[in-house]
Amino acid sequence: MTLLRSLIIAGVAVAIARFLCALLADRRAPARRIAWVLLLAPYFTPALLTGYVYANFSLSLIHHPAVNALFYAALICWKFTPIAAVILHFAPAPISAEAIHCRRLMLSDAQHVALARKLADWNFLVHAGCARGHVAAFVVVYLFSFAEFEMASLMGLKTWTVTLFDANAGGLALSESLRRMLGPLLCEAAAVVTAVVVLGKHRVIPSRLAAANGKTHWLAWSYLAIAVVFVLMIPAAMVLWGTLRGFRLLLENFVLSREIISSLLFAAGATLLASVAVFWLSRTANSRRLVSVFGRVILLIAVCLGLIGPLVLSLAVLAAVQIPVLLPLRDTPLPLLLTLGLVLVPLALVLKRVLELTGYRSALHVATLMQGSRSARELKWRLSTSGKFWSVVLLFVWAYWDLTASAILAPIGMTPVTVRLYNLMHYGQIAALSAMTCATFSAPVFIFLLAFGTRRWWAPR
Amino acid sequence: MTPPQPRSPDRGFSFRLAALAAFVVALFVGYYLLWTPHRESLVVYCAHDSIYADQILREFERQTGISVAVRYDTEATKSLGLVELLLQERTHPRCDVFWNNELLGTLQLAEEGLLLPYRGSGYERIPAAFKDADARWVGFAARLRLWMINTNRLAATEEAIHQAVSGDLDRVAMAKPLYGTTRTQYTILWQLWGQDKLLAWHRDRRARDLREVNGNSTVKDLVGAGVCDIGWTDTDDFFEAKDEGKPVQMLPVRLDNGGTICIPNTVAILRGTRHLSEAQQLVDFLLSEKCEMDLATGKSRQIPLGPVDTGRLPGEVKQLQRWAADGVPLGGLGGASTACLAWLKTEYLQ
Repeated sequence: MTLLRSLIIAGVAVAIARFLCALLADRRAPARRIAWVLLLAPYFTPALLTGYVYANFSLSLIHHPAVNALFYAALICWKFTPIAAVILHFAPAPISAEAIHCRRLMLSDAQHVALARKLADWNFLVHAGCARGHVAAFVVVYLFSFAEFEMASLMGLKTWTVTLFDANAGGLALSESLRRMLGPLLCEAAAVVTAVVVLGKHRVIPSRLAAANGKTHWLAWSYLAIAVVFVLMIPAAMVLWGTLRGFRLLLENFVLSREIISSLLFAAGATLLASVAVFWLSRTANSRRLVSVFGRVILLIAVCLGLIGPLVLSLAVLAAVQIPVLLPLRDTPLPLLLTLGLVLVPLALVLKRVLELTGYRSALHVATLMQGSRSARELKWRLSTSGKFWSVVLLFVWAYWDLTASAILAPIGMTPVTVRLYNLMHYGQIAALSAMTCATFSAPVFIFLLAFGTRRWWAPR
Repeated sequence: MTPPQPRSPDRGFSFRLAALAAFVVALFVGYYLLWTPHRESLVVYCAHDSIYADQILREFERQTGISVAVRYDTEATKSLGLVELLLQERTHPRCDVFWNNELLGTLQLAEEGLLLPYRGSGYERIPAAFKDADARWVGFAARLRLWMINTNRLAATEEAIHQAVSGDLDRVAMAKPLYGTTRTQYTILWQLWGQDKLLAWHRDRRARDLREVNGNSTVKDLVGAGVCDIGWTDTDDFFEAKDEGKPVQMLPVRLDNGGTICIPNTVAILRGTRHLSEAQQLVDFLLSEKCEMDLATGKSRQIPLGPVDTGRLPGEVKQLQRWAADGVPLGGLGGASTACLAWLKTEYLQ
């Protein structure tokens, strides 16, 4: 069921993402900026927050499980469509729409039968590498929705992740958990292999993106608005309302400070690990020496491990630290740190590639030559450092909100806040819990504001 | 033309390297400060709801100065998760004290030889019916299994309940019996009825669309919101709903012999503990009159098992004490527990 749902969600997401891409290529900068914010907001809304807010609604649907499953699928689709749109945006077809049109005009006399012409068109486009972006988007959305756990668990859905997580937490032998992982792992491996085969065939030669026409423009904006309302605005409003009512309780008895600090430390460590790994391995892979083969293999392994999702990876790491030689590591922060770092590697790699594609090297060189002046610093921040800063923020937020790996691998005494919140969320929606959720949400925001506000002191000049 | 070189290209690089090094050092210091003290802390595995247990354990820390590191269970896999973890860790134990929110898991650990006997002041305080004769575990602060009824949908009477469970059960909720106190209820039925009758009863309930959910708190939410009319849950969940202003009433679950199901928390020290003295202090603290009184007067209204100043008990808890007096003995459930759990695992974990 999860497999079928994920395949459908991935297909729908890619279809919708094609229209959303056009908004991202809008020639008007303000419209483009709004489109980016609206697009990314649902994706970066913590799944725990969305799941928590809709948990009661899902309970009210206990007599209508199909409606609940449909609503969950819609939320997942809204949440993960942005990934498809971003991939399509940064990996457009290597042939422009105008060129394809010209080719069609040239062939119009030779091809009379409509179906045959369409088939020939498809054949040409696929072989020319026009499908590579779509395949990548489909595979990534499929992997994300297939491995989703937090929302499914809080909304009472019976996915393989929830079943396996509960069975493992309920005492299922690790060997049995690992055996049960094989089926889902095959489903994930099939997707990863497909992506590697298709993407490996074609080189990236991006062409100019087409802007949207009036009708699809309107539909795309509507889609973005609905996604933001359901995935972010409603959950945020409900949690804020709860926070207002539970703020006094929070001040009287705030018990999550230690857990929040743990989460911040794990997120910072994992972000550093993933960033350094991707930076170093990419450099190694691009070098002309024999070591580049080694770098590429290691990078590929790290990406594949990251793509199989935190649940499968965590169980594998847990099995590894049961080996007598590695047993001393079991109670240390290292297993969780390593797992989170690996989970971040694919995202870090994508972000690095995006930064490379969108960099303005000549302008940056000019800004470097102007060093010393305030405007040069600002220019350099805009052209280079801000991109890296935002990439680190995204990685950090991702790691901070991880639940699955944290629940399985966190050492005693360093329980990340998401694990405590997840457990507390099963007691229902109460004002104090909403306030705790708000405080948990605020901690990385505070760190972000602090880093952003002090950038003139730490940003490279 | 070759562009002029920046004035000091290495300076920026050195600065970034220094910043990175400082960041790494800060991270290590953070991990060290947060994690290292807990290597020497008293490790407690706690199956009791963290919203109630946390305050008690923090109070213990405050009074004794002993640092406590707690591992809580998830609501969905209540108590069984920690018991299985303790069994898995038997060769390399991490836990010093196990605070279980029920008895069966503790009985299993005692039978497996994982618990260390301790007869302290707390042990002496608790009546014999609620403690192990060999002092491997002691019960305290009990809860009752009960019917929680949404009074907007159903009258809170035995007749109304009987009628509600005689037909379609799609408005009746129950937590999965593999976990928590619902498992205790099933084990008692296993012992009273035998395997065949329980299996037939269970399958009949499922065939009539009984709503099985993750945990008693979900049952509480369903009945409180009127999505279901009645459900089995525990007293602490009921009072949570009542305090939220939900239209709910309770009646104790009565067995065929008229007995009720009164389930104590249990506490035990694990063999291989590296902090025996601290573990004993915690056990005595949990079994003290003050702790039982705190749990009775708190939100969960747990029933004190040892002698307390009854004048200070809330009226609701006194009512619960009267029902608890009819409680069936749980001490001899060990055999039934093992067999029932094996069957439940085939039913829910396969």
